[in-house]
Amino acid sequence: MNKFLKKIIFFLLPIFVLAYPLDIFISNNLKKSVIHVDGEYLIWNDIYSGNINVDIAVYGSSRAWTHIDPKVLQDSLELTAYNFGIDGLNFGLQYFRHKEYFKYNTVPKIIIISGDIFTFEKEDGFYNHEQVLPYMLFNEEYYKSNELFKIFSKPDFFIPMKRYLGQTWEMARAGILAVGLENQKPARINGFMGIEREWNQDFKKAIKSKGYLKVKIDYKLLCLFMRFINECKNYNIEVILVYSPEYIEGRTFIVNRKEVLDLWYKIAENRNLLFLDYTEDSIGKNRKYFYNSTHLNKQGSRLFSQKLAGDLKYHLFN
Amino acid sequence: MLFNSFDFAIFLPCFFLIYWFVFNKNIRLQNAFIVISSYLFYGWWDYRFLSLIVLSTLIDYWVGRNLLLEQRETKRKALLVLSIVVNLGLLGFFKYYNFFAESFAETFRLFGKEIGVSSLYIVLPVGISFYTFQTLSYTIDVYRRKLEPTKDIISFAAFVSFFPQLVAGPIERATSFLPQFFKKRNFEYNSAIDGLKQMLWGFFKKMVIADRCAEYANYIFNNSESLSGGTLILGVLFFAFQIYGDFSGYSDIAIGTARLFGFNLKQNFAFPYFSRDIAEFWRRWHISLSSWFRDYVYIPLGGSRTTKLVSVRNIIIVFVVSGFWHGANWTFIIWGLLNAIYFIPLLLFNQNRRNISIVAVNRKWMSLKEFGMILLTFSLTLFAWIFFRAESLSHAMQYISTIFSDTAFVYTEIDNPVKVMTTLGLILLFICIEWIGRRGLYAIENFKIYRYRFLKWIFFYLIVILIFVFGGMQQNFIYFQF
Repeated sequence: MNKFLKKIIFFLLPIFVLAYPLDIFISNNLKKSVIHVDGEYLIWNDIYSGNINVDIAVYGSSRAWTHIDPKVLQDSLELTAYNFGIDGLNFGLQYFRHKEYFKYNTVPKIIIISGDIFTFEKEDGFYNHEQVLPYMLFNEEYYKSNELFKIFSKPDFFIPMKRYLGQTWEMARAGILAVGLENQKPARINGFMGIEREWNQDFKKAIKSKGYLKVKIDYKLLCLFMRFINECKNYNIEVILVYSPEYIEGRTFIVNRKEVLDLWYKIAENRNLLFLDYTEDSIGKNRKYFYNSTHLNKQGSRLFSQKLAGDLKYHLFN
Repeated sequence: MLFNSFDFAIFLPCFFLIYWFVFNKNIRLQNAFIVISSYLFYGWWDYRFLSLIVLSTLIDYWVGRNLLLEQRETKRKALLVLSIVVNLGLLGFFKYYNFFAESFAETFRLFGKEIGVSSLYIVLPVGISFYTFQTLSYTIDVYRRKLEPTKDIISFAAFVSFFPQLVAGPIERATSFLPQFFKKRNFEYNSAIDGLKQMLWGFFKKMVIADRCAEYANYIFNNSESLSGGTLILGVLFFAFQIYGDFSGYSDIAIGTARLFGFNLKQNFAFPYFSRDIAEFWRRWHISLSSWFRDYVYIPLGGSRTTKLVSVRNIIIVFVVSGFWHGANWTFIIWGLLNAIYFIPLLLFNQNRRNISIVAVNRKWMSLKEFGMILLTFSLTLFAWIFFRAESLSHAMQYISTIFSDTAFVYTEIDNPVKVMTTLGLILLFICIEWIGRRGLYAIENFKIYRYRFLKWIFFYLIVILIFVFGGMQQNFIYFQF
């Protein structure tokens, strides 16, 4: 028995000894990626470096970071801006990013919430979960977040390398970054990226596979959103709700779209917030500004950012 | 509790240390500890269904005891029927109620009568098909006077619930497995090391092969309507390796774990994809189930020592029942029937026992003819897997018709080509290792490099690294659902 136990320990020892340095190596290199997971590491790194000192923060999902260009807002309003949009995720993770942002940086004067149909939708997974891997180990805040527990378990936060198990491409990318082979332009500038794509088949495929969709509102998320608004009030931050354009033909896909849109109006009315609704804007009637039914392309986002900047200027300075 | 979970990584060493260091002097305490730990292992998933295992254990223990005391044949038969009814009744209710209710209503609908049959939302207790068959083997063997019934209820409970093989087999026979609970178990270094090696290989099969293939197999089967025939062929290929890696991987982990505690479980897979005909395939695939059906269904029906016509009937019955055992869906029945159709010509021409030993047993390479036979058997198996994996018969038919359409040679992109090629490369590596180790009980049992300690360790570390780097996203074991 002793021989057996010694052998087991001897076999496992190098694995345990190497796990921590390997974890640090992978995490530190992975963070350097400027293109992986839609450039989300850039945003997290900016947050943790504590150098984001802006007047306007934009929150939301992919419709935030592909639609609202902080540079356009900056040029027009003469206020600095940063886009914190997080791909494919509802308000739960948007709020998690908000908390991390506030912990390490100075708070903004204005927060623009780019709302959409899915902001309060119940979500079980975590799209692009790879974006949090390098920051998770021994991180109490991450461990406390219910959102991350949807897909990670306790050992992922405390056992080196555990969360990288099977993350083949993340480990490979870390290796590529370590030898300096990822040589590309940053995907996002101040959190924003204009997508240079033409209209694709995403919408057609969605219609074909699902027919229609009914959004299930998660009322816990709604409560969290209300709490967030209260917290912003305590900080004297002005919260502005924005609903950016959607392509007109895609609207019928969501059967309870009106109900969700009404919810945004109710929140604005109830909390006395400015709500800029662009769902009926002319941009939404022209397919050339979209690459799918919910996302503007680069041309569309430029036009929309200019319109939004103009409207904000009117409301903020008049 | 899943073998490939963190919970199990904690559970196993704890169990090992207590088993060998605390209870090593008393076999009854060791058995009691096995029962408690096995119930914990099972209850981790859903403790409510433990009552089914306990019920099954108590009934069969009681039936066994009474079969010994009772000499009248009619009474003995009644006791056996009681055991069969209770065990199959539980299995039938949890697994087949909805299937029968819906099929019943459907039949009436065909004759223009609408009847209201309520479908129940019934959760299938994990492993029920496995432990039910295991306990049934006990009562049947006691009834046949092949086995002395046990007086020791703790040992019997340990036999029914032994955690390594509780939820997905191998389905052990009471005649060979139960006596192991009465013998003093001594820790054997070589056996334990061998067990760990088999576990390591099982984890490789499950996490690298099965879980990787599962991602693509699931995607392709779930989106078969929008994909080309060529991609669907790839989909069924991925599924073939998913189910093999998954189930044989589970069996390897179970057998290896059991060896750590001084138990020997039977081999459940013997390189089935190297089979040269379907009869050989079924001697190499899920051996514990195939032999169960052989001994308790096929032979009692007359087996092959009867007229050809009756033998054919028996084969059809066994395969259809085997298909139905896998799940309450017509797709499984067709899968079973298809295998029977593949098998019957071999039976009719007395060719079903032509290939007993593994291909090229004394040679390095197979002949061209053997290669052709393996390829043909594998293709037939792939075709049958379509029914096994499809959601419904119409889904299977749509899948097959797309394969045989003009898009059979067209590939639709399903993921980054590098990722798909990596998975295919891993499958190729897996086939090579299986080929090299095909003469052993499991592929990495005996390699020439083991003569050199340094190379041996490098090889094991390499497998660990492969598991770590290429392990797919954690998926449940497929056979849990059966």
